[in-house]
Amino acid sequence: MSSSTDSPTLTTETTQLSPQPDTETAKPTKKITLKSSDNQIFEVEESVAMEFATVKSFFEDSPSSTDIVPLPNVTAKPLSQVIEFCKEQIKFKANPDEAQKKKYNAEFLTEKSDKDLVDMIPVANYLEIKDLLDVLNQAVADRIENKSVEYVRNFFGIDNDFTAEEEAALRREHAWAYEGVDED
Amino acid sequence: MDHRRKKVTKTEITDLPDCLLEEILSKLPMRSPALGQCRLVCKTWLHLISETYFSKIQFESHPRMLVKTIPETYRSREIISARIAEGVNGRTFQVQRSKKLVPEKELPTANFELVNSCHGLLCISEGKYRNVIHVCNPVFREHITINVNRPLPFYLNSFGLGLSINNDKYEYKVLRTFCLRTNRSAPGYPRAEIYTIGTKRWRRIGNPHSCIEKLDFNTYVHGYIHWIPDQKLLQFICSFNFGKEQFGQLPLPPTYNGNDVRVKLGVLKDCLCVSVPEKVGSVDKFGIWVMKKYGIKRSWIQQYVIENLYPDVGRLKFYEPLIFLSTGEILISFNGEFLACYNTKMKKLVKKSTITQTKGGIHAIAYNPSLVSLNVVARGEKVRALPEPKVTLC
Repeated sequence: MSSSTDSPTLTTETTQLSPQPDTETAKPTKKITLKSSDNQIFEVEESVAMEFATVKSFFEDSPSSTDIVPLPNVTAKPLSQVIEFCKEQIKFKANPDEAQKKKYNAEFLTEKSDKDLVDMIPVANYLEIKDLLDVLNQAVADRIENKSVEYVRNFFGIDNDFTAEEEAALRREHAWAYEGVDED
Repeated sequence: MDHRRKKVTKTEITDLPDCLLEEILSKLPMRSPALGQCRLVCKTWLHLISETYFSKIQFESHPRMLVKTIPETYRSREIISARIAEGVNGRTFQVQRSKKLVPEKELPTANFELVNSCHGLLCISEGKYRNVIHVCNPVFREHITINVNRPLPFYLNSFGLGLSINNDKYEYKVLRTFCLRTNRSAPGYPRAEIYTIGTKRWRRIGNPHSCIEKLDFNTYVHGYIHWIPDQKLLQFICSFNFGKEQFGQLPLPPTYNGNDVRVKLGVLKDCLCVSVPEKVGSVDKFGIWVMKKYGIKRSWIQQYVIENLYPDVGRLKFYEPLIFLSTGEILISFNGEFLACYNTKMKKLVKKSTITQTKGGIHAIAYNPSLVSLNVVARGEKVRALPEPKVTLC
């Protein structure tokens, strides 16, 4: 199969672009080039890129487009992590193994810093990778569960916009909430 | 608790859009510390967590229930909040999470009965004569206390909480029915009052056909609550609409003869359903009927038959259907003594539940947690948080 750079014809291209990892693994794989907002170039296998609904529809909408897909909302670091995750998911699609998948997902998440996790969320959202978004949201929720308000603010880098009086009133109102909070 | 923690260096500003934050917050478990804490993070979060659309996306996938054990002594130590899930791989239903709500911690009083719940708010009555009720949101440990008018011991109050929706105006209301007696031995006249939360007063409304005795597990459908009247020969089901503030009557299933009062109400897929005894020859069975079109007698359909009843038939009072699972299993309350799972395909009780074990009785009600804050829906009332700071008098 020729790479898309050599073939400007369109109709056959689009059919090839539909994700069929099972049948395509045997054939030589086509690469898709993604460009992050900080101008880094990522070459990924087509099957991986088609996991990104946004990229997929990019090709569906404009099959004649050049090969480089610009991702203006996405920086290189979270993008590389997202690609890494999706590569593995493709393997599990071909050979379903729930236990292994669970294990991989757990390991993938635990080794990431808080910032990495939070940074990946808008990327997963922009690229419309529902499964990843789901596990990321859960992982973040798990990390802030039972943490102090200060911890949560710091986790998300949120500034406290309550006045001292407002905060004191809210804290009085919710005095009970301070039970069962983990040490930071 | 407010001593300074060690300063953590701040990560750079992460600006997640509200819709993404909302999804993260919706993954937090129904546990007050987590959600309560998050309301204090900043104004945006406080707003997000109070938003009703957020409360809608959460917690609706599994039915949930509250079970109160009724020990011999009048005081109850706890109620159990259990979430029921469909069994996987051919297994029967599972209790996914079971949490205890401890009186004076998550609940305002230890001397109470469960009344019912509606859209995340729980109603409980206090004391032997039920002259005080509390409306609580256990998620936030908020509650308001409502005293009844003319609290005389022989009024025998009973209640029901409901939501009235009129032109996008949402109001929680408490219905009180009581039997007016001139003295303890005189016959009673059913009377009713209603309390719109936030108005701080009871209003007299038209008389009910019959007082509520005790609401069944879940009887709230289409803005109405329903109950079985306290009569020797049953002719109808009582209803009350919270929007119109009107009492009504609904027909019973066609084959039911009215003599056997072991009748229990429930909700199956947004329809009112009823469990009625049906004798076939000398064999006792229960039919579970569903009213497919609300208010239409012809629309009663027999959905299930519960047979092979538990051996001790002589003692049998009722089979109350609680939760219907898509696997064809029904979680039932047997005589108010224990909870068990009935399999409609195998036609027998398959599993006794371990949600609670008690020698006394149990009373279970449906409850779906929500993030409806009383601070929002009960403006004008004194909303208290639990536990309240101890006041020491010296």
